Amino acid sequence: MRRVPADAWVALVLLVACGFFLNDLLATEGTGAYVKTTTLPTALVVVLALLALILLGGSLLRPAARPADALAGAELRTGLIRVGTMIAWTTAFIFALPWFGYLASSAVFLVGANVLYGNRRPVSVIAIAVIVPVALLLFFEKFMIVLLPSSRLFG
Amino acid sequence: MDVLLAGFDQVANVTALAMIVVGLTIGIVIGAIPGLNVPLAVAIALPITFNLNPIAGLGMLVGIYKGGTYGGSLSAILINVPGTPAAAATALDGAELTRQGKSGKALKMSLYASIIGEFISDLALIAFAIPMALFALRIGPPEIFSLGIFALTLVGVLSQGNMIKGLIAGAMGLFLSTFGVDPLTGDFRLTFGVRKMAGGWAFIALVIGVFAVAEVLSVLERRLGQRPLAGTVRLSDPDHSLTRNDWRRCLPVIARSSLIGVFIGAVPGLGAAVSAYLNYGITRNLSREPERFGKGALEGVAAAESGNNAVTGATFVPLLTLGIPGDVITAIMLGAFIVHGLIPGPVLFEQQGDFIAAFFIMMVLATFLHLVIARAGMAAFIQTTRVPNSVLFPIVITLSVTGVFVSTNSFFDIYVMLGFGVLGYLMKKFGFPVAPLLIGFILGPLVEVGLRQSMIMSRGGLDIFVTRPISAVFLFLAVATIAVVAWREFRSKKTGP
Repeated sequence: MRRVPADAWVALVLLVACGFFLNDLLATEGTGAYVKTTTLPTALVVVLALLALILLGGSLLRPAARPADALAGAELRTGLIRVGTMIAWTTAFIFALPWFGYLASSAVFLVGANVLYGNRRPVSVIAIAVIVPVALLLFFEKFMIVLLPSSRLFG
Repeated sequence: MDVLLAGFDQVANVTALAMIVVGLTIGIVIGAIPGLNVPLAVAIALPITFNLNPIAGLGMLVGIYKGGTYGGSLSAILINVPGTPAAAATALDGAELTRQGKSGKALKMSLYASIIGEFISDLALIAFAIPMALFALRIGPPEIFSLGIFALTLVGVLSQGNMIKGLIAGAMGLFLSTFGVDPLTGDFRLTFGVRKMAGGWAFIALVIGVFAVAEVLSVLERRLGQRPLAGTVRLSDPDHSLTRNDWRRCLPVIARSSLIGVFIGAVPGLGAAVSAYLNYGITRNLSREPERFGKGALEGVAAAESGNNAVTGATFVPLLTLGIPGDVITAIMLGAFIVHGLIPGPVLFEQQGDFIAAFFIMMVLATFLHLVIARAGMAAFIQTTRVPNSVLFPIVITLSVTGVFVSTNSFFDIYVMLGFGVLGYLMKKFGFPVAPLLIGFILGPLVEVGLRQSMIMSRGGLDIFVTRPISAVFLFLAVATIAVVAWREFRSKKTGP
């Protein structure tokens, strides 16, 4: 059995998303003269769905060649794990910002992010984790007069 | 002549010159840092200018504007992360040139194209301020709508061999711009009961997400130690020098893009990003070798950079003559004018001739100083490429988070940025261009308001878009663009790679 091309999966996800948004838009009562609040977004969802159908048809009829530099196998799996870890780490960083403040959260985040990117030199990692948050804090709070998040836990 | 001399007196003082230099330096640095943007820097610098004389204060803001619009190209070329939305088109070929070991060439062309674009824009401001503003007045809602549609169809041209994916990305950008409060009726739509969605997606979160965060994730997916772009660059090396042939190819592009940029700048609401994409698309479409674009065509850098910087002078045309800001940056600057008791409009030309002359001289002077500072500092900027990915990209993501927080003061928008980062990463992974998403998002409000106001004007009739000549021309160009690109794709698929 032939494998479903990646573009076909993307088109299917798009069609499902279009269905979801269309459902919400049809349930919203639009107001306005001649063109209502929901007219343009609804038209755009329909256009997107049509384009997704064209993409689906095209990808099934004439599958695109796999890019020469595309990752595959174990390399791809490791890459995706790194990306997933980075997304989770960044989410944790954003979550920690209001609780631990800008300096502490950024420093810890930078240590982890450096390690994820393969920086194995402890002096470099610690220097970046200290210098970057302090420099940014000073730049924004002292020079630009914009406050960065302070810690709810430590005041 | 007396007015000119009086104007020259206002500019030729240490404070004014120093403020222009400070503004340019801050602008280039802010523009080059992904996550920080020019409107943010202008807004934050605004209170500083209140204590200065009008020309010195405005000189600083103009410096940030000009420097920042150019500065975005540095990171776009060197690390493939556009510092500003307007530089995203520059990254398409600029980063590719860096990968080929020709970053110096791209950086030099980016600077010279920017300066020529700026200079032409300054001259246009001086020579055609009033006539151009009168023409811009004729651009009504139908023309805005048609111009938006034309710009969006050009997005398809930008989609590198797959028009459908480019159009999907553009339509997605337009769709994303419709979330939140309806700009005309104030009704909520697509908010899903989330209060923080009332204002729609934050522009800065989307820009930083799909460009900076997506790039960080894409680089991470590949090899950790691998540098996607070149490291050491010697500007004096032959590979980094601009040849006579480079100039022969690029000068006509710069001239055309600058003139188009001047026109776009004079039309309120369009701005540098639209100009950059439009000029890139036009240049690629008109090229005899369109297949070179996206693979390191120097003309692509020249078109995008002259196009976006050519906006910087022209945006002051509607501002000075009509009091209508040409873009978000001049909108912020309007505050500086008013604080200094200068109310833009025809009366300003009648009653404050000295100031107008000084402003024009200051614009030209800022362009000259821009060339000097950016060229002298170029070698220093290039050194940033020596920073390893493992050091640079964690800093980029920290800057991105910081930049969004500083702009919006909202943790929700940082999550939104991360979400758009994942979306941008997936789009790249599956071969969808991200630039059309951004251009669709920028044009969304213009297109929607243009459409709805036009329908009110015509009492529901669609003929208004074809009976008005300027609108009809834009729509014809849009249809022609789709036809040409579809035909090219059809032929290339038929003949094979």
